Amino acid sequence: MELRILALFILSILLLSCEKEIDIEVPQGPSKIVVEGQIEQGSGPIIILTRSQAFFDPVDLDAVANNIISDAEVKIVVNDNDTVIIPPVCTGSLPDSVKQRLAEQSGLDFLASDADICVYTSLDPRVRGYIGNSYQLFVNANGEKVSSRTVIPPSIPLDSIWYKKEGTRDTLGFVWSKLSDPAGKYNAYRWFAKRISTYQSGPNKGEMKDPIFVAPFGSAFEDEFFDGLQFDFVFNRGVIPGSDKEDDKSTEAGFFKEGDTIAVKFTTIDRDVYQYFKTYYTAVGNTGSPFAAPTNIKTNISGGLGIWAGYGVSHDTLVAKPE
Amino acid sequence: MLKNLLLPLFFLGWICSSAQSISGSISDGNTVIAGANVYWVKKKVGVISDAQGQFSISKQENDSLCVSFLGYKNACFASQNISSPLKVVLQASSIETQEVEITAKKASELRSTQMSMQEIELKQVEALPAFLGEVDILKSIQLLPGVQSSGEGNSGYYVRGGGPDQNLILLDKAPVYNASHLLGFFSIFNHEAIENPTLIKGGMPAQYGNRLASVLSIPSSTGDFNDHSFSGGVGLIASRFSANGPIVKDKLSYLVSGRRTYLDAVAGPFIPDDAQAKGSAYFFYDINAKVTYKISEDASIEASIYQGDDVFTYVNRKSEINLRIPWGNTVVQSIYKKRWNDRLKGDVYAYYNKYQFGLYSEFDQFSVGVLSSIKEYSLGSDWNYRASDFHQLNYGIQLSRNIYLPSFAEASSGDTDFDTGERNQLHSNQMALYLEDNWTISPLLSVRAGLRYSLFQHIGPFTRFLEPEAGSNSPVLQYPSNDVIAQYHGIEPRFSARYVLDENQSIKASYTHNIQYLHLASISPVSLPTDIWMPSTSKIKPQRGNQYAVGYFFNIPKWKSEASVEAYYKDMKNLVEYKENTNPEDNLNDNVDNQLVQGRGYSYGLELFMKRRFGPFNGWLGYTISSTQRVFEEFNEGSAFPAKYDRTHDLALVATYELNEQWTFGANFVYGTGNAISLPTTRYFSFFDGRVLGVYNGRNTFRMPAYHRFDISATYRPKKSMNKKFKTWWVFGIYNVYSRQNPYFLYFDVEGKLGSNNLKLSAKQVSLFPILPAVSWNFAF
Repeated sequence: MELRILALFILSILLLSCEKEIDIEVPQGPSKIVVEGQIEQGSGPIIILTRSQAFFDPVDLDAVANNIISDAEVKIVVNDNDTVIIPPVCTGSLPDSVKQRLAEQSGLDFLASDADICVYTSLDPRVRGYIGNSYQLFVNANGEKVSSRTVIPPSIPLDSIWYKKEGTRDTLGFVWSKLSDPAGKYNAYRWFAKRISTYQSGPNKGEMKDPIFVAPFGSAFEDEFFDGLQFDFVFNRGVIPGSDKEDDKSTEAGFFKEGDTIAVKFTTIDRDVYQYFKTYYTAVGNTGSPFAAPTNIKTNISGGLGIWAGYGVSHDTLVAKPE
Repeated sequence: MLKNLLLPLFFLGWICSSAQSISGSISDGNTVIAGANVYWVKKKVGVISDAQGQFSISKQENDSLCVSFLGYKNACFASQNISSPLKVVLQASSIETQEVEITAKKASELRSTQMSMQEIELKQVEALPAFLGEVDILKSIQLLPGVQSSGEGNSGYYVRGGGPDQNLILLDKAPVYNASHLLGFFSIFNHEAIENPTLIKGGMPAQYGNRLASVLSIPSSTGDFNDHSFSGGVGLIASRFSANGPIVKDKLSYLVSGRRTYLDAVAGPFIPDDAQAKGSAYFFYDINAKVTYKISEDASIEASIYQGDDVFTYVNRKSEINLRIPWGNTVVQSIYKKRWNDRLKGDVYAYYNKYQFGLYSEFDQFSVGVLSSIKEYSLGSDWNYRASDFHQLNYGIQLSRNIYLPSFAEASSGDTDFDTGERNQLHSNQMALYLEDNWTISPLLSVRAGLRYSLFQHIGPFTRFLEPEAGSNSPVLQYPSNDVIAQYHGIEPRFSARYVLDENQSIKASYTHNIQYLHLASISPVSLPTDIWMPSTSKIKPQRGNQYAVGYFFNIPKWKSEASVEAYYKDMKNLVEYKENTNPEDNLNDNVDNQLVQGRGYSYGLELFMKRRFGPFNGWLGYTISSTQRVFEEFNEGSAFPAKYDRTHDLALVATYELNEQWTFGANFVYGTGNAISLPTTRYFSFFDGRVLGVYNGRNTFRMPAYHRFDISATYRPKKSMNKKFKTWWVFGIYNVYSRQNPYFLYFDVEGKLGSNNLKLSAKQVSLFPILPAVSWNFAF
């Protein structure tokens, strides 16, 4: 991170660098099944299946919707024992109001769009997330099979959370957390936040500021360097890529604002899930840097790409107030 | 151990000789002439003058000794008239007398047994276009065939398919580990403090080792023993000042040269006090200093120091961020030189050098410190003994002790210190011995055969992190002090031969085997000050390389030019790379070598070179066609992939023209195949996080567009300053005259929101330098 500052600084003061769009021929790569699935403590599984495509294949809404695999057989085996079929639920068959609610509840913004999008989910109590359970995932998409396995680690609540003004900025700041890491064993975490207060003015007036929990960049970490320690850490406010909301484009982007009511979801993840997010953030952060090595994201999907993640969950809420 | 290794040092000077011989020097009155033929006409035996223009030859009766060199009239002396030492001043042959020499030194590629060698003439380099007006020898050597630049504006270079860690850069006797400032945009060598550098890219003499690809030997300048002189310059980026002269006339001299950038000093006052980044700054500086003591006509001792640092500080007052990144080299050395007699000369030297990189950052209650360094202490001796007119021996020894700190970090949040591990240094002992014979079999055929023996030990103390068992942290193994943890050694044969076809043509061939006990581990695809120097260990085997080269060297008298065609093949093994997906923090609480993998590489190419070194119009043309591949089991499914700097075509055209006493012009043109790079070929979506993620299939499967650039320069020496002691001159330059947007790197960009119709994917090319003018004002008195 610090090196990126150095690189950018030097490039900007010394050099009159310029950027232009070019045409480049991309060789055909293999198309693989991509799994994006999660099972949270206390909730049912949710799984989206897609395929990797040539880099410059179309990415308009229809193309993205067509990329989603709606007809796969998906099943979950709980603790190597109970097998549960997970059926697809498609938005095309739902009225708009239901789609909207589904989008808000699932946190998957795009479900509210016009495209017919299928996700795999189930209300079967056998596949509700429980701490300590293992969940094997089997996908068969027209004969092409991928599989994975995850566990829900015990949840570890934060000791406390608080808002702190950032530097000399007015009314803007970050959310701080205090964590006591359990000693002597591997722990990995992921931190999310959601502003549950509503916009008081502007085009989004009356809407909840964040309809979903947003993970800030670099939101996953493991205890390699602080096993058994109590310490404070801080995150900025996560922004959904490409968001065109006013507060995601102004100086407020990345900051919480005094007066916000903020829900924090603090989750525990296993080593493979952590490895996925670590390499995921490295890969995203490295894009566009001449100094960074190309990074492929580590996956826990055998035969495919993506992630099947179990989360242990604890929740906190705070109101951002000046100290 | 070190004590035992020292013993052979004392046996090096015993060889002596008694036969009568003549020694002397050859010049054109101003500058020395290297590579001139010195031969007895009747006896038909001869020698060639060395780089200092000196020679030594057995005395013959009733014969005449002639000296010849291309472009000059022969000079002959009857044996009864010769007294040693003989000073020979050659007269330019008639066709040359009207023309002015620009080149400082003349060496004949044709005659020497060494092949694949080039001397950089600083005088000429100073007249060539320089990036932002800063004369830079590392950029000049990139204009030679077989040498590839590592990128736009960059002083890093690759030789015949070797990595940047495989170039031995010697300041006198001491290697320099990171020879660049400012992320590689400038080299650390101040041209006012050095003499003409020499690059050897093949047929490496046995004297040099621990690198596979090349030797760049940079002699430091020596202060004048009689007169004081001063020089300096003011450029766009930096200013420099040098002084040299006698401390005690004819006995003791000094030289001091310094350079510093002043972007921070100039820009500082103009940044408003309330600016967010007030206090942020970047600068680098170099200091070279040397004292030389003449003990006698034949012996001297010198001591010198180089110190240079880059310092970057970033302050964001709004966010209470403080960041400081210093890095730099220190080189301290002392050399004792003695010429025992006409046949034997030698030196003894000692040096200490250090490269260190640091990063210190603070934000709110967090602080992070990162440190990485390499230190070396060394003692050695090199000798040259002329056993007869047919055999000249070079031999020597070197002992070194290295201490590496690949990566160390401290981090804290408030009162909590994070467990980022201890300072885990690696210690090594190294020894090398060499013996080489330059054997003149006949005036036409000469052979140089040498053997180098090198030994490396990784010794304790050391902490080895073992494979972690499931669910726990890595167990460690502690080695006590002086425990030999890993040992490697080997013989490195070196062989070169030259056969003269006629006075204008020769052919040469060479074979070398090199061992390198040092590795550069780089997470980034470009060289950065953060790159980690690692010695060989029990996990990382030494690099080994073989190079085979043949060449045809010829003069083109009509064009007053020298030319050569060289072909090489090179294979290398035990090259290192980081495993895929390694992050810098993976080096903490672990050993760097646990993150590395080893593979092999090969390179082959054909190099054409033509150089004109006489007259007002000077310059060269270099062209290389080559291929460089890497093979790593872990990458690209084990099949060969092109190295980043694999360059199919590489062309450089360099010219200087002296119009008159006031004006000299310079120009160069370069063209090179684009670098090989890795880009994603496929992509997928993360709906949960709203991102598009790329997938890389295979390494370096893409090519950037070709690189080409044309630069010009002009040097103006005002007439009125010419006859005064205080001389001034201006150098004007234009970099990238036709403002070509050369690719610096490419990436695939994602804009807009996933799940909407405004999502857009595109390929972007980033270019650094458009047309850039430069000017510098220089002086000497």
